Amino acid sequence: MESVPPIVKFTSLQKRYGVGPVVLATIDLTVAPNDFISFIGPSGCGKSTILKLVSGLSPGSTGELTVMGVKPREARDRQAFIFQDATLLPWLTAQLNVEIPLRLRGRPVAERQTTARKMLELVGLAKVADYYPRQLSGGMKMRVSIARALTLAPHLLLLDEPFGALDEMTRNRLNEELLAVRAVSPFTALFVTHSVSEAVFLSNRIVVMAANPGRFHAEVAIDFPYPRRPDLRGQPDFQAKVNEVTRLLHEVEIPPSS
Amino acid sequence: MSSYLLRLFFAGLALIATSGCGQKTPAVSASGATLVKVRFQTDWFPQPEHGGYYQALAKGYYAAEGLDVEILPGGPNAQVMSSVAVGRADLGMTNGDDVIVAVARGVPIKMVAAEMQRDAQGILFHAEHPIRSLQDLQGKTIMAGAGSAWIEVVRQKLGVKFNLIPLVGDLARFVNNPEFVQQCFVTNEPYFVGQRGVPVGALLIANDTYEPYRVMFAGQAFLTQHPEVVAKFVRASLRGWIDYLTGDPAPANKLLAAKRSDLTPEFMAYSIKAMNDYQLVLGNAAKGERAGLLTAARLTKQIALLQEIGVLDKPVAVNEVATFEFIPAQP
Amino acid sequence: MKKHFSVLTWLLPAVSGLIFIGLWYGVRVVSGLQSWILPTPVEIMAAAVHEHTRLLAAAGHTALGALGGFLLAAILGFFTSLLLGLSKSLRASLYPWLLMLQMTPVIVLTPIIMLWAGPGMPGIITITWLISYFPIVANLTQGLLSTDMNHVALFRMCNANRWQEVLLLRVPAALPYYLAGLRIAATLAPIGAIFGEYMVGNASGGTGGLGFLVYSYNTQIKIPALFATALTSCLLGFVFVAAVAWLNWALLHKWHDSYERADH
Repeated sequence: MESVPPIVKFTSLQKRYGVGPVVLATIDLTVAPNDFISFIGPSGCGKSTILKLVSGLSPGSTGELTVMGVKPREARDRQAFIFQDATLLPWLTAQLNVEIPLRLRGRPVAERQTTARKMLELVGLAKVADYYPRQLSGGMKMRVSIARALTLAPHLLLLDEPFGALDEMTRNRLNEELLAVRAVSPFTALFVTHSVSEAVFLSNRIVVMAANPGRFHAEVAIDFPYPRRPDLRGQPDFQAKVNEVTRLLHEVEIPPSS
Repeated sequence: MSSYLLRLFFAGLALIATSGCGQKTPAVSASGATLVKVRFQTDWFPQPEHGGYYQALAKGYYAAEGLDVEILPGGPNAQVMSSVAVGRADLGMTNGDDVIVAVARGVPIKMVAAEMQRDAQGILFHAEHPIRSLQDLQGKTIMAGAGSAWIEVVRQKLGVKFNLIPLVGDLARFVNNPEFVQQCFVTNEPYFVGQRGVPVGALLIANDTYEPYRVMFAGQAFLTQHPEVVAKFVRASLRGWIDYLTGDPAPANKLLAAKRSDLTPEFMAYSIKAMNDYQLVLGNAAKGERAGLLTAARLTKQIALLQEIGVLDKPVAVNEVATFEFIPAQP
Repeated sequence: MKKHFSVLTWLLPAVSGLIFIGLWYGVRVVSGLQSWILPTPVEIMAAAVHEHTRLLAAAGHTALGALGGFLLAAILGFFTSLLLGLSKSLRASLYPWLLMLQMTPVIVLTPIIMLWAGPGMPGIITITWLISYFPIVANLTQGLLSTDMNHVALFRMCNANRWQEVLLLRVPAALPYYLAGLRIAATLAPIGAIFGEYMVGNASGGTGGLGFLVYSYNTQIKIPALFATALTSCLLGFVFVAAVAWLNWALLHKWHDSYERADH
């Protein structure tokens, strides 16, 4: 197992915009296949920047970053991004939105339609395939967004606070569904969130980050086996992990001077 | 869009416009001979003041000369002289003064015959108003076209002082105010005001001091290349005019009415009568005038006058503004 | 509540309209003005009926000019905006010139248009185009620049090429802006065509447009008919605006937030 190449590897990576302040101080991280890593930390800690770097939307300044052994941009075909809001195109139906990644790669219409239909079924939205985004609830929109990201069966999924705008019940349900989808269509995930319990429920590793400059503060391993069931949230072990991460977060959120 | 692209676009439009109304397939006369295409630009919407040309067209005078004449309607801002100068039309008609000024500014056109011996511009007043001559305008307020040459002539040569208000072409104002005096065409406005039951008088502005022609003119290039066509056009047009004003005007009037549904027979009859009463086209035989006649003496006098009142900024020779070779000999 | 409101939306303009017409008659009676100075609505309607053949023919002529100019503006405006919206350097080099052209009153350009485009329909279409072109360009360019950055990122993540980004993302996203520009242009196009007829028309083809009728009726002091011409122009304007409003509805009502959701 040691010989399996990493999905993502940060080596002494640093990021700053021009001559501005350092956004990310030296980062070292190795993401193994099938990792589900959550990044959690105060705002300004650069957790979203990590996803931008991996996706190739933003280049690193110094150090090295490889994604599936190549430069981030070259690995785009094997990764997908899920944004903070669902970023559905409002003029397209749910079905056509899910087809977009296939369409942009020039796949034939028939393949586009069957794949998109299958993805919508996977997230339980087959019956609203012809609805426009504004006819869908927030949770449904996010499910469409997940379906769209999975159409190309990516090895790596980058999620930037995808459930941040949803109420807690919807968020919990979507967390469960995300894991269910992952069981069918496996992917490695880098997940940015503000919610400790969400991070604990989803991840096998949690990276707690600090701000000014953005850096890794601590890493917590969450070794509950997958598949995880909803009642995991009520167990004392789960609560202990939530408490541990929360404590680490307090360390970085309270300025050392005060 | 840059001005270059804009110009290109306009050039394209102009091309469409000219190719649309210009290069048609040659028409064929009754005798079977091919007719020469001639485009004649008028200065306004079709009206009885263009009657002679339409009469020549309707009665086949042009065709008899071997010409296939297309009369292009004008309108506001018709720019008759520019149209002819750029070759969108071969010949045109307008005020003689304007041709003199244009030639002096380098526009390549030349008068080839008179259309009217004197311009139809007049002063319109209520019958009860005491105006009977241009001298009576002293101290009055007149609604008139600000750029008109006659205003300067009356002011400078006749020493008559009056106030001007801009011409907006709203006769309702005139009808409503018995004191109102305005510029008009003697062939036109008096009829419509009379229709409203208001007794009016009209005074022709042309006088012994200031007597502008209305003229037919041709583009220089066309004149040089096709003098015989110009001669035929002038001959047929004058024949049309004489027939229109002394014979039965019905053929031309029918064409005019087809082009403009608002021209009533009564109005056209009025215009024809005015053109005759004021001897506009056929002229005053007692003074040696006749249809089509342009004289070097009168043009010379006119050029001098325009220069004197400052309308013409540099001298221009008579033979630059007009050619007399197409004017028919004394009948 | 909703029903109550919809009754009011009809009732209030009807009442104010009646009051206005009443005042109109009042002024006419009290002032003793003649019909050719202030015609009554009935006299205007009578003139409209009497002149309906001419008014309809003229409206048709004007509609043709307005449509020609409008379509030209819609098409040229679309491609101009693409150039401006997608290339920063083109935008920088062309926008000042466009603004200059827009700032120039069309009336000043009229003689030049006359000379280049020629009298009659070509001139009328050019003037209509000039008047309706800028709102389209301004709106659509703004729209092309307002694409959601997350959508752009999504397309980049999918390795979309420049054309795909333009055709599948930026243009559809800017559609509401384009239609807003077209709506403004639709109100301006008939005005532009009538102005064009009034400035460079030549009444060719046996019938002038509404702009020509203004000359004709004014010279003949047919003032009620002049008011009827105004009414006809107004109706023509409504037809244009309604047509674009319909287009707007047809293209947007399913997905755009400016239309009420069907299921709510």
